[in-house]
Amino acid sequence: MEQQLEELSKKANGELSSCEDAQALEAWRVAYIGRSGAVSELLRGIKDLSDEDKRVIGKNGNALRRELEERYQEKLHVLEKASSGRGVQATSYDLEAGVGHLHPLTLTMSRVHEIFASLGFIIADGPEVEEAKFNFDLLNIPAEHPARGEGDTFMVDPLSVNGAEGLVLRTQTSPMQIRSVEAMRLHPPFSVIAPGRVFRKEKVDATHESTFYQFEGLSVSETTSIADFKFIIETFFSTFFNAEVTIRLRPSYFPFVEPGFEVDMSCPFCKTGCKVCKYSKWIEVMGAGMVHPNVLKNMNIDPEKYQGFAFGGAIDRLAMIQYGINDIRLFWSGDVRFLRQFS
Amino acid sequence: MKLSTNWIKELVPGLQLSGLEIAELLTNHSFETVVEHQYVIDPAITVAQILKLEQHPNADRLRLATITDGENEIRVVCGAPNISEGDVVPYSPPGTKVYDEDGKLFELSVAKIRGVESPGMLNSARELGLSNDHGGIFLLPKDTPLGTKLSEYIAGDTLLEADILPDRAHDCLSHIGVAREVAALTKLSVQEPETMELPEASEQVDGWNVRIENPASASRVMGIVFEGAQEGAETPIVMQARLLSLGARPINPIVDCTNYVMFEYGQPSHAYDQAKLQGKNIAVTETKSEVLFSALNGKLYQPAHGDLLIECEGETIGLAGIVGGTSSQVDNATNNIFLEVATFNAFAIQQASAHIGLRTEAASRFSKGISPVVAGVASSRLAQLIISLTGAQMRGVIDTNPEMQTPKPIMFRPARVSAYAGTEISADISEDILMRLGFSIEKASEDQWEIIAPAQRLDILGEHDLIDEVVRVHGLSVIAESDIAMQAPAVAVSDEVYWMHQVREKLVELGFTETYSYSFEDEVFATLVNSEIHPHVELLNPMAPELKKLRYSMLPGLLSAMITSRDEMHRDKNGVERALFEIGRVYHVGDTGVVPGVIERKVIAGISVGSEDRLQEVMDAFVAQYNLAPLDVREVEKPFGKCLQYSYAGEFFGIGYVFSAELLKKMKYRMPVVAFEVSVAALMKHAPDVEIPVRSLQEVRDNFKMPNQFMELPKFPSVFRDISILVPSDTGVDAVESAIDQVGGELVVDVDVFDEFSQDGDDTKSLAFHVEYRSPDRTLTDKEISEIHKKIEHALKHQFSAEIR
Repeated sequence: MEQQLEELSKKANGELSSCEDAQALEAWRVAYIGRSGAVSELLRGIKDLSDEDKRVIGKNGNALRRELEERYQEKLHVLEKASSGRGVQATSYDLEAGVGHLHPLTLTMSRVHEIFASLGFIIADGPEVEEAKFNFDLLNIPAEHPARGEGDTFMVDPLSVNGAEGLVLRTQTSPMQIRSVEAMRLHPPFSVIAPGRVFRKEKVDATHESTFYQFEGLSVSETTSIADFKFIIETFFSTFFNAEVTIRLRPSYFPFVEPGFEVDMSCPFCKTGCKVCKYSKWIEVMGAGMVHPNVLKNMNIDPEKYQGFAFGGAIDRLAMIQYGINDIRLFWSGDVRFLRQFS
Repeated sequence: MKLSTNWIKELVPGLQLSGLEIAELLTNHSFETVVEHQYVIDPAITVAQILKLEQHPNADRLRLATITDGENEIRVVCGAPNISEGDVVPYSPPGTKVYDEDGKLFELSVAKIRGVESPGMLNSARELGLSNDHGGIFLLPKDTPLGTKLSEYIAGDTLLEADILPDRAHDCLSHIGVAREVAALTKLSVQEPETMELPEASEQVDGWNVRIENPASASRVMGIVFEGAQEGAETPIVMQARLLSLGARPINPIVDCTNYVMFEYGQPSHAYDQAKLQGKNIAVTETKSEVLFSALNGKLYQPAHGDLLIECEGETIGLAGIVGGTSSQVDNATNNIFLEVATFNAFAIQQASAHIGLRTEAASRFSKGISPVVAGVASSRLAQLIISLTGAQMRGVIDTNPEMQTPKPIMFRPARVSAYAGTEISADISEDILMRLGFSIEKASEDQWEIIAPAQRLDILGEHDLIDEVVRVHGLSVIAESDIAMQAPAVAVSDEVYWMHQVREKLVELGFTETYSYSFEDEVFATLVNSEIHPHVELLNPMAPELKKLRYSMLPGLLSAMITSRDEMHRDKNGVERALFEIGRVYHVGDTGVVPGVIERKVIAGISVGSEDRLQEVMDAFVAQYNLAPLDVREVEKPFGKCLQYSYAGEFFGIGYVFSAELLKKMKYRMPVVAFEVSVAALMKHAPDVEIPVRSLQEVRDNFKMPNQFMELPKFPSVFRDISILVPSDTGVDAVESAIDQVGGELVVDVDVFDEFSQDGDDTKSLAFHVEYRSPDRTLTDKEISEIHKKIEHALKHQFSAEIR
């Protein structure tokens, strides 16, 4: 056995030195330190030896393997540096590179951008770490409001940010309503859409995540009405799902709109009920309403002269419905077997 | 909130709708309501009395109850601990349908329980379908006529679950509130429950008095003194059944009345046994020193500084608005009570409830805010109920705030309703709706009215709230979508959106697959790239202690993904993705950003198997796409690898990383890896002027791509085996692959030819394949795999005259 090891070591090292290119190196790897390579085979044979031999041969065998692996890596680097470097081909495998793929959230967000831009909505963007006044106060959520006390807002430690108080990770994209008007100096009539990342501290499971994407829309003019909202949203969903969908509104409550509504969309996949719509023929898709006069005032827009609607939807939800993804956590998995599936 | 359909129909006489129809009506006009469950009381269930109780001969915990229905005597087996001789109980003979623990009906048969025959059973509340209470037999009032059907007293009911919106919680966490809604929606009227007129309030009653330490704690506190409640009084069956189906447990008539009125009017109240109080001075105070309170639920609670308490002669007798104590509990022997009906400060109760971690039905109502007017109405009802049920007498009423202010009138212009709706809704409709909802209207002119809201509607603050009332009652479905006239002309996407799209397309072309990582920096991966040396934005309440920092760089997240995908990336197969990218934000500390304290920076980051040449390829692509001059590079050695710092026009542009062998080892990567981070701001600063195309709705429609349907990731591991064969040179590789696929069936997930070799002049060639085995429902054993592998080899020998090498 010991002799076998020595011979193997000599042979392996010798052949390694004479490898001229990646292909030869790969062949060497398969032959010696690969799964069915000579060194591996030898190490597998150890189980038939006596205990004493097992120890010695095992130790030396593993040392050999380590040594060969290190030399292999070095050789690999050397060869790569020398090669003309055509991207992925410079790997240990002389393999063709494939094209990459876009993330389903990106694909969904792009579509949201496209559709709303064609409907006259400018795209806005803003901070994810927000001041309390933009995430709450200016949105008509006063200090004593239950939404404030909720444990699901991530709060920034003032000590880590030069003492800045009251910073939170935004729980919704609604702060963008105020920010976009200010930053882009918008005067009615205008329509703006602001998709972005939001954060909620809640238990993570197949339908809830700490981090997800929403898109916020705001449209203000002298006459913008609920009827207009229905048109815009029906058009959006019909275009997004490439199907004739109708929407229905139900009364709901959000501090920054009045009247407020929940928006349901008729199931784009069935007529009589299916798994996607949980057999109810309707899918809940967003919250919306007519912008509260207090919020308009906070935007320096006169509520006596102007009115408008605001809405918020979840990109994750749209993506899950569209692609049939059943677990929201997959979006964050970093698993290429998931990431490669959508484009 | 749970709602009883029967109760609502009692409050709205003439209402013909079923529970389901009521739920739909409320969902469409008020708040989302669903049917939670229904129950029926089988007419076979009769009222019986227990004559004799004996021990079961064969079971310690069972007894034999001899019962009578007034005519016949029957003996049944019963395991309940709460029955005594003389009790009046429900009896179900064989053939009766009762409910099991899953809420399903099952038919009773004559059973033999531990050797003794039991023709039927005595029932618990759960078996009757009333609640989940299965701790004992449902005890009926002693004066219930024997032999009568239980269904005469308890009608079947449909229980609804209403998701009362926060702005309707002031008035709708009660059956009366919901009844008012339903009446308004169906154009019917509410029949108010029977109440008793209260005597004029006084400062003290027989020495009893109430003091509010801090006026802000409670806008109204009423105290009603009752004396002479008879022992042995019992709560009527219907009340008990209602309490059970709404999740409360009947205890004794006085306590039951307070719970009943809470569900009826939304006003919680609490009764204290006078005999157990130290004196007559009642106070609403704020916690100052340490208080350990023994609550009615048997647990101890410690309120925080400032939380509201009810005290009597300095002793804490209640956590105000949340729960009462064991020391002053009302029981069957109680004759004299002090009833507290108050309106506590909503925020104070919300805070206290969170501090002690106890959320009761009372606390959830107070937390939302109740109008002080309701305390007065509820007191009248409580007096009526307590007196009629217990025979007690009312000694007097204390009231800290008897003068109720009328709400301020709100200016309302009916034309605004049509303007908001976008469709004509006439002033007549508005008037009709508002009146049905109990609003009073004064018309200053045709176009301008003065509206006063009902006292309990704390949510009506302005004209827009009134518009909401009209629109929702009228029906959101009535508003049709507007026509295209509203549509603004199409605009282009923003510069950044456009350019990031271009960058993404380019990276994809170069073989990068997009990933998304959390903004929270995982410490484990951060230390691999020395991220911890930088100051980070930190959270006070992270998901987990190791996730308290916001990411300073994109690298740790990409590293994590690279490791997650390691097995895939190491697959010896053409076309496998070996590079990832992400466009996201990093969070730095500083004051030059939009928000003081935090600077958010957008970064394009990527990680790839490959060498420095790969890095060069990417940077070249950026330079080409953005029409830039060559970048300035500076090399720096870091513990985890070589860093290439790129700058452009004297400013920071990005960083490239070539990972060290040590880092690769930690990542367990057998191939070299490089990474990069490029500043979006720097790119955008030098972006060439482009005319961003504007797309019309029709163009966007035409651009629709059928979405790929997600395929679940394999749950069980794959095993790879190779096959090397020598075949005639004219053998088609595809044919061999197909054959392998076919023989392997569903267990062969992939066949990949990785080597094809023949020398000129040979009439044979060698082919080598990686075969991937995997089952969707189990981990394959070596034996199974070897068997199939042999089968495949065999087939190849036959079909292609292959020689296995």
